[in-house]
Amino acid sequence: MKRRDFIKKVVMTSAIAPVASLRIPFVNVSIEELTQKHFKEMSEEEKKAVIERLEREYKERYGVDVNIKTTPAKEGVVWGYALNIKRCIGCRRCVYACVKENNQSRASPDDPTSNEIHWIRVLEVAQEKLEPGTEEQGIGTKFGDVVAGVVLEESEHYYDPEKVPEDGKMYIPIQCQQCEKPPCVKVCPTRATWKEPDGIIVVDYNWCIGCRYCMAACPYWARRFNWSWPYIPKEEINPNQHYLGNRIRYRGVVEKCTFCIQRTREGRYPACVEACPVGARKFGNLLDPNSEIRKIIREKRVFRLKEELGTEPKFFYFMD
Amino acid sequence: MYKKYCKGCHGEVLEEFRYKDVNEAVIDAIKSGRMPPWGIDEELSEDDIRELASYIGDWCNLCHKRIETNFTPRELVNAPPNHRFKLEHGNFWCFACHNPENRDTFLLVNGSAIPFNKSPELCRQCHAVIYKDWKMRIHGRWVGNISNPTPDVICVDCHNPHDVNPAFKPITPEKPPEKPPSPPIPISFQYFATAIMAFSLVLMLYSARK
Repeated sequence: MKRRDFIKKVVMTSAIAPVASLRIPFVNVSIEELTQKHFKEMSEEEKKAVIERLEREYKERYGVDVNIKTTPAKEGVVWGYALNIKRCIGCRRCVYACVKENNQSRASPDDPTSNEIHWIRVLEVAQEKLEPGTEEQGIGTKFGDVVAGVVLEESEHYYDPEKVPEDGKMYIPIQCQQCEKPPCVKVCPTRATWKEPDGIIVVDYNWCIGCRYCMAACPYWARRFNWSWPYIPKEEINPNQHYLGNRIRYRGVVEKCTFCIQRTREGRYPACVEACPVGARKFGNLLDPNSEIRKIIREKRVFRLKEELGTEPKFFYFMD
Repeated sequence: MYKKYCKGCHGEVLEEFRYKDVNEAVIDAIKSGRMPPWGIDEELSEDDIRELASYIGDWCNLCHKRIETNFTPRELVNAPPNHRFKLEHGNFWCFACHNPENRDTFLLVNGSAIPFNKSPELCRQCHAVIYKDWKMRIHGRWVGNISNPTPDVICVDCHNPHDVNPAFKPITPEKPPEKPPSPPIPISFQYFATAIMAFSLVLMLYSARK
């Protein structure tokens, strides 16, 4: 390094560093955050600087040392998910495993404005409603709102019996379907959400402006909005985080299932897969002919939700 | 531990009859909850488990070595409580699966004996289709590395073969999600206000016509 460059660097860093971390009054945004590049355009060093800043900010706000990663997608991997609806018993273990793993906001007992966020919603459908109806009843051919004879709008979200599964009931867990042609990505005005090379749709919470267009565009109701600052008890925060995944969100941003990007990019199963007591949830690489997901697609009866919309979900429902 | 869980039925056991070499398979079985069959509710420490295992040693042979084998299918009335159940698993009796020569093993149809922890090999003789699914990782829970996962549970962890209905037992669901907040003004009041407005409009029109 030349002497001149060295002096320049020293002067610049000493002059900018304290200014950059200052927060602009009223909007409460630091200059560093304001001048942050789009995640896809960042170099490795810029990513590192952003991660450092975020870890500092989370330490200030939540008092927890977190470890944020930016692990990129592996070559030759496209993740796919399969769910056996014949086996699902609707116990919601997956829902709460997901909440714990992905740092979703809990309902705070002290703050009535806090909102509880679940990425997975389990729908209970009465089995008698599964009979494909006649055309006069509007079932079977109507566009968009009918899935394999099930009217999803008539399902029960808040079932709470003593024991599950109940007789004559079927359970359909719904989460982000990680579409190959995602309508949510098309509508984003700031390109804060995009499809990664391994097929996962991610959100950059620092770029999301909270317009909620993507929530309106999603036909699966898979996206959730942070109406308030997330409330997570300090001891329940998962410190193993990914920039595009489970790092703690801000108020006014949209979030969604990322197939546990922080786990799957390190070769581990998503939290919901490991939590399912009946083993109804299956996960694997769609490009690997020996993976369980490919075997399911090859050998089982498989359907996808709202296939007629042409969103090409990578989330398959199957039956034995 | 022995006093708490075993003494009630098995009585006092002299110190010299305890097993010095603890059977690792027994420890595995206690840890996974397969042993004892009626289950232990509390969390056991490593020492507690070793203590229990030192009383168990090898499992069934402990008693059955001394009992003459009776091959006649019958209801077991004088047997210990964990043996008294109505078996409705196919048209079988104990020796369809258990080995009469050595009770600590299972007996396959081809005549070979297998240890207890290889029980899926026994199940596959009839449930071949579901066994194939399990081997392909489509059935059951698999954990660990995605490219090389291991089974978290085996057949008998979820399906008790001695039960009348070996299907997965119903469990209590977790609590349902939060309901969306209700609108600040009750909907019934909104209807009421609309009705009042409509009524006054009608009145106004009526008076104007006069």
